[in-house]
Amino acid sequence: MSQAILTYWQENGAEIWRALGQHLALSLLATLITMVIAIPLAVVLIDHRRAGEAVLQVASVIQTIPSLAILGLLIPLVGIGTVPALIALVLYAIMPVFSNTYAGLTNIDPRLIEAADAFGVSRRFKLFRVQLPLAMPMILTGLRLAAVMVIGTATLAALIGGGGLGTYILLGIQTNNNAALIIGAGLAAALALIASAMIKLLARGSWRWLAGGTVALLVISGTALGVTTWRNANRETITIAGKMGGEPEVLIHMYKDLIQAADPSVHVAVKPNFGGTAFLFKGLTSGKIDIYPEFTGTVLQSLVKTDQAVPHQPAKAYQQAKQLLARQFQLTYLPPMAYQNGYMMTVRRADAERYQLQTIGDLQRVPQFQAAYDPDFYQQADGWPGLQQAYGLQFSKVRTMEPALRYEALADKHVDVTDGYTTDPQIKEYDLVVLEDDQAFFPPYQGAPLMSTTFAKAHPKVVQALNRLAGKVTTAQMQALNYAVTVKHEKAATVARRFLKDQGLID
Amino acid sequence: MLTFKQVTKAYGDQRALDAVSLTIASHELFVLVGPSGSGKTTLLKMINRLNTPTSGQILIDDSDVAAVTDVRALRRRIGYVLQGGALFPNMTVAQNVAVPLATLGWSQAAQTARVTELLTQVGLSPERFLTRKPSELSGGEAQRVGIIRALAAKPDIILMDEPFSALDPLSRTQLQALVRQLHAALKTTIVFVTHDMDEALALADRLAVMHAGQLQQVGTPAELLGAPANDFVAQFFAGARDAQQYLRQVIAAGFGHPGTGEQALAPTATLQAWAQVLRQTPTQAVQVGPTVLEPADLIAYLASTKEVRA
Ligand SMILES: Nc1ncnc2c1ncn2[C@@H]1O[C@H](COP(=O)(O)OP(=O)(O)O)[C@@H](O)[C@H]1O
Ligand SMILES: [Mg+2]
Repeated sequence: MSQAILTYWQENGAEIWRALGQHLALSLLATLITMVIAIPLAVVLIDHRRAGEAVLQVASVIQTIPSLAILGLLIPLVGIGTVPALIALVLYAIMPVFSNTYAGLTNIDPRLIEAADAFGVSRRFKLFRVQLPLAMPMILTGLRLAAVMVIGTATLAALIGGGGLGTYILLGIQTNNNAALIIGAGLAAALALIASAMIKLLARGSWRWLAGGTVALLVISGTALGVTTWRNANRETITIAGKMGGEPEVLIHMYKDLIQAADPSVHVAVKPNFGGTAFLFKGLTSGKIDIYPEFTGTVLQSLVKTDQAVPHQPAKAYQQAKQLLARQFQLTYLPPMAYQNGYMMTVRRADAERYQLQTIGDLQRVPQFQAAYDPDFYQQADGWPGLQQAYGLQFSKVRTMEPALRYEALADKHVDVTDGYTTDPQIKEYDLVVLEDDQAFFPPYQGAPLMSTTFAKAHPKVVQALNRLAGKVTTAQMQALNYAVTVKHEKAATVARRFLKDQGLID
Repeated sequence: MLTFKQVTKAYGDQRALDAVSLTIASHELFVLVGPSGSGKTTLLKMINRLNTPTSGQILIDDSDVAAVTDVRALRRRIGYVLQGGALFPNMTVAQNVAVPLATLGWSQAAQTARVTELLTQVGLSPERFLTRKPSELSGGEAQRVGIIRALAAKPDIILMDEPFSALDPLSRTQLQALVRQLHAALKTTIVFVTHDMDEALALADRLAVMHAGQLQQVGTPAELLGAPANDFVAQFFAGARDAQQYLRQVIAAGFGHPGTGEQALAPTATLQAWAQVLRQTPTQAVQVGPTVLEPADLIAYLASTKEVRA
């Protein structure tokens, strides 16, 4: 394991450092903005207890909103990337900073306040020499809580293209790469511990030192952020995002390479592991991202409104999806690639040979089999309940299991048949046999680039470049690509480029 | 001069102060004494506008404090000492003492010079105490610092609210002596609040007895002890009168003879007052009403009380 981490670090060191820097900058900026909002607010409300209590209530309510929900709400308003991440983090951090500062300021020994008043000191003197210094231990406690929380929550920024260490955590989860996961999570934890320790040290310093440091840090991180934004603003950038996982990441790198091969002047930003379907679709319709790969089945089942049943022929499904997207959302859906990434049923090769299993229908002959399913598949009408009816299947035992564990259970002969996706790399890893869906029960899932019609019209070269993938990439090829990324832990960018070159799609 | 005219303070339908009228002369060490909750603090804080009366007036040298527009300026002329010192724990002793000076815009050098002078005056060595934090002081030391903080800007009036009630008896006696000594040297008007009648008697030039928001009696310690205006005052000082010995007790015990002495003393004068007279002129006979007491009578009386106790 430690060897794997070391190797991963050696290969990705520069990017990890950059992610660490991003994470640090984001957390720092969020904490500083929080301070700038929460501390003056608490000061202003010292003598307005009722208003202070009200702010406290609001801040605690905000804290209870799940962070993903806040991110979702912010995307249509402020787009993706650093800004919504920053806003969400600040919203969270306000509660600990405000409540501790407020408690610190309002619980000072009243005799000390009386003494200050009795000597006729100025408001400034009272605030900076008496109230704030006396509340400082509480203020710092609040800051410490906020900093630790912000550093932890900032890992979610990766979900909306905000970068940071979360990128490696997501990557690790999605591609089953423990080295990436441990590096991401470990660095985030280390950062939180260091920040906490540093604020504790700060507690021994003086108020002036803290104020000076705050201003300096604010200037530095503000400048850094500004410069980055300014640099990126100078070139046209096409933003391509992908869902969680290794496969979308390979696809968006293919898109990027194809577009840049056709027009080297454009700058393509890829945002892998961007989030779930809803996030991406919102991002696309609100113009925050330009392109993302989507499946025909997902379009018909989750995105467009339709009364019709999902067609079982892939070509028909694509046509229907394309028309509905154009009509309902003014989106352009380019022709799909060859591979199917739908549900499938799989068994061990030895069993397939022994029982002569080729189609799902053949499973009727093995009622002694035990099955394990992904919980979703077990419940959905287009999963096990429908499949069981369509093929008249019966097994000795059916249970649900964590998707990641299903394949191992199958390979280790704890179960005999499981569901899965047709492009899962484990099929290759464990040498499994995919049974043919001869009744075309499963809806077709073909991947194709989705973009707004306005964008498509404005960028004919991009459309042309992406269309070169139409009808390409077979299911076996996709399995191999996923295998390289998820099992072999190769970089998605490398895998994508190698494939395009092998296929003669780029030079 | 400080004048209270018909000062009343109502909290809801409770009266913390009820039509209090009182005059405190300049340069006087005036003590407000009374049981807890009798309204002493309320009255004291009205002088520097930390509290305001519901009705009535407070005048400082004939100007109404309610008419003051710059309350901070008013407060800067009035020193304030709280229980336990109420030093700012985040500041050093020097910074604490310099608070009123910084507020008045004194230069750093002038502040340091003044703080050093004050520390020396109350027997705290500047080298050792300037940079200490309040947490490193004993109760007595902290209150010394509290007192010189109030003195620092040479105010016309100093208000003290139960400054010594949290101290041990020895420190309390020492600090009471210090207050008398500072008052003798500076002649600042001091208004001192306490619930402890011994402390009141030990310090006061004059004192006012408060009870349930009402002024009971104003006068010198001797006047109050000798001629209490009502049962409450008599009761309040009962303990002190027992401990205290008066010339009329000496006469009542059968000492002295009719005649005329060289110096007249009131029957309510204490044995101490008599002893002071004798220290000046050891052979002097004193006249108390129609009776003359000889110096030997003092010794005989004290010896007789000793016998009784033994
Ligand atoms: N802010 C206040 N609100 C209501 N009642 C008060 C307030 N301050 C003082 N009192 C009441 O006024 C009375 C006099 O209080 P105080 O002047 O503090 O007494 P003392 O200093 O003699 O112990 C007490 O009964 C006290 O409960
Ligand atoms: Mg009081």
